[in-house]
Amino acid sequence: MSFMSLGAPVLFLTLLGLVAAGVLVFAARYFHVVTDPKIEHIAAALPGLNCGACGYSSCQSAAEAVAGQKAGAAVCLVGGPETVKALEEILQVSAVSAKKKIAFLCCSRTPLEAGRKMVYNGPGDCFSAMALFGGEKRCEGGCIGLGSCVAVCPAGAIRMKNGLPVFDPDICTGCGLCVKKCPKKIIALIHDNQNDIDRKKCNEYCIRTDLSFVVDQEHCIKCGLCAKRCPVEVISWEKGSSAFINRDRCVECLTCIRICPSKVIS
Amino acid sequence: MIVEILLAFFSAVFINNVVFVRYLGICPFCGVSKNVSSATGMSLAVLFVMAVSSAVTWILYHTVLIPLGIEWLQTIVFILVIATLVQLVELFVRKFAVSLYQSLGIYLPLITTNCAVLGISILAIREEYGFLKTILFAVSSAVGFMLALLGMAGIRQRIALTAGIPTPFRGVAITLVAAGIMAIAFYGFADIDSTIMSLRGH
Repeated sequence: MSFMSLGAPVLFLTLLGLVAAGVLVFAARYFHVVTDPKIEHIAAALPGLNCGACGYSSCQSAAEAVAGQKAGAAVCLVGGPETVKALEEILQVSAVSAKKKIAFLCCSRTPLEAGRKMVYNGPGDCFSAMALFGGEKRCEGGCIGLGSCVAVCPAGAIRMKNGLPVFDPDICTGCGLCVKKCPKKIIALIHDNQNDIDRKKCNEYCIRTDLSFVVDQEHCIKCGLCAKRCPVEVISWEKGSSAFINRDRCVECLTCIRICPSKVIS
Repeated sequence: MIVEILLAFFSAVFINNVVFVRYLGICPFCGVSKNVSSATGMSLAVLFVMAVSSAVTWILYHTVLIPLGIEWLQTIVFILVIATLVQLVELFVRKFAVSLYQSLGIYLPLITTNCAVLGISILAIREEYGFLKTILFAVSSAVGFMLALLGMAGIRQRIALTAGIPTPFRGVAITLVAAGIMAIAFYGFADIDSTIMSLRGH
């Protein structure tokens, strides 16, 4: 091979490389996007493994979520307490850590109280149980109690007691991972000031106190579906008459409210 | 004409599926198929980059490499061009299409060196496709990649919830077994295109 036949390709590749580099330099300068400097600081504090355990595709996108207040300081499961502390320091200037929120379970019914509709014998996580008729408890809105929230908690603030998760308000960082994880969606973030109104609001599914079922007699279509579906059979109904709910043995599963076709039970 | 376009599309998606028959892009196929949402992001990014890069490499090959008589440089030139192009597209999209950037996310730079992208460009040259056919080939190959990736992601999401897998098979092993079964299923499409062509009298 002569020198000339070698020279042309070398020249061509060098030229192509220079053009490519020039284009990229030009593009980086003119397409530059001004970003929040906090994102860079947070990204630097994260481990940078891009493992995806937090649910974001990279540490960079996790940092963007934290800076955008979509995620808390405890976003990183891998970094452990040090990373959480570093992130909290970075976020101190903003109002995120000032308003501390903690996780709260909107179900206070132990397995014994709620009753079982079957015996579940599958893998020990809430999602597998949820896939089989919504878990073994009779109550559809109730906690499955297999502790998927315990497994996901990076701070170790959740432990199981009497078949229900108990949240330690001192350890809980309010990262909201358990809220996202819970298949029943019955964990909520509430303000940590013992505010009962917040807790009651959280109990969308199951409020044990001062709850009364009212059947709108005028609009009830008298189908009797609620009586047939009630797991503890406390709804009395006869053909041609509207339903009446006996509160004495009611387990407050709210099945009747959910299945009512004309939405007259509240 | 329409039949031929459909046949070319069908061929690239099912009969010569880029993952199961050509064995290209196995790395993202195994790596990004853990859940459906990231698989969607990845395959959309592949679709985008494959279409753009195959068009650019075709132009470069026919206007520069052939006239200069240095076709043997195609691999290194294509890699250089694709890598630059992906970086450029990422910067451009980040500036002017923020929502697209957020949905493609990290997957755009990840496929800079995806062998499927390079493979499709080189295959289009080797098969001597025209410019439009090259783009059609690239897009339909990417759709085939999307099909494989989304199917695999769905299967893996189910596998993750399955209890009865023996311990040694968990993780990568069962993934490869599932991929193998999927590949066998795709062999069911083999030779359908040539049969149709012969039936139509070509």
